[in-house]
Amino acid sequence: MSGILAFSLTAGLLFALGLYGMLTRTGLIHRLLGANIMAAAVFLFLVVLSTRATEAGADPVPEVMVLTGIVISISLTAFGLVLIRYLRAMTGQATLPRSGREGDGHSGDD
Amino acid sequence: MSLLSLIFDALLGLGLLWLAWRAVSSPGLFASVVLFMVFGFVMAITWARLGAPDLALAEAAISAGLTGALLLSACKAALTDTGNDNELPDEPSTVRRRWPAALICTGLGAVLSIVMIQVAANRAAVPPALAEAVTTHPLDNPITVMLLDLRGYDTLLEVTVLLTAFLGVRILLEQTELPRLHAPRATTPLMVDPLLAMATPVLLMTALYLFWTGMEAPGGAFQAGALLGALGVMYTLTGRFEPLDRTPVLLRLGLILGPGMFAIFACLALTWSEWPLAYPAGATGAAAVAIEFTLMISIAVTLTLLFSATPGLHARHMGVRHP
Repeated sequence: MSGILAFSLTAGLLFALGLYGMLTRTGLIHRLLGANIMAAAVFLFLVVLSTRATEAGADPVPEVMVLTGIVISISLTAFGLVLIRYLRAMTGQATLPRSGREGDGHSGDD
Repeated sequence: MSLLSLIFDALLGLGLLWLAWRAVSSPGLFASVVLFMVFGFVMAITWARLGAPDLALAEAAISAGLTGALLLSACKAALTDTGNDNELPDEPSTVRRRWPAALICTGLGAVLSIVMIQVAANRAAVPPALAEAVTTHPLDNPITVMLLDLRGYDTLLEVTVLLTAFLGVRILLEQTELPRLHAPRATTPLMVDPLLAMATPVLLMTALYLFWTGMEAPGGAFQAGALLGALGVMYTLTGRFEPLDRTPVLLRLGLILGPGMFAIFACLALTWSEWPLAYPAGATGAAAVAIEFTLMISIAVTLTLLFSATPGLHARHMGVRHP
């Protein structure tokens, strides 16, 4: 099964790309996209784990965890987006302040 | 054949990586959002390729569809909240720490990929007890069996998270006056009525079909609820649902129906079994259909309200159109 190799590799690299987005972007919506891409990478790896048990059919447990995760992701995204609007209403911008060093690297919405 | 599937898998993987890279690196907000939506659809194809049609349906409806709608509406919010009418302000494209971040992420990506390939290369069989529980279960779709019965706790907590997200949004909306995103227009464009007249029955039928067929085939409460939520999004966007400052009683009931009924069922199960969430012998199918139906309603109501980002909605009276 060729897919297992290709998609495990994709999952690992996707996770790194999502993290890169979260670390380097200042725009909070971009960071939220990065977090969603990292989640997608984890989902992809879980499904690869579920399909490798091919002889007796796929393992339903990881698949169900992914289905749960997809719904949690949209809850998180929806709440995060309203938090970002709230921040913009309070401070006039949708980025974190540059000054506070303690805020570095945390997007505040994950 | 195997060469073809190898090429197809490689293209899917490269497509995912390229779209993700463009989504996190594009300077413009709108471009990133659209690329992310396309990423969601390619992900849905990947699920189908990996033999997980339940996930493909959920990904297409929830991740690509509704998350995309939420993100586009966030783009609109970036315009209306700043009082800027036509130009999306580009976020500063990159910040400090670009090279250290690239170094860390490259290392992490390499290590993760190697570990994942090694883990995934080991064949693992489904545990026999699990395989037996799934095959002897009265419901036929293994995913529905897991969601509603074997891992019912997960599902109960998952719909609670969805409800909590809405409660959080509602609390934030109380804190500040955010401009309305989807204000009703004075006139509706010509094609809106015919579009809704066609889309409403099709979406309703598809959602009910997915709900009903979820017992034995791919589908279920989440996919059906997401489709109904998409219908709610269309009605919100076209002004058929008007924003309210309070949550009407009927919507409150809709929000709480799924998690509430599921929680009551969990307690009631203690009267016929020693475990919460156990199904009564002989009535598993009926109980599962009832729970799925209430979950579908709650998911649809919650997703629509999360999209509209208002405490409540009500149907607008469109006046008498028909002679």
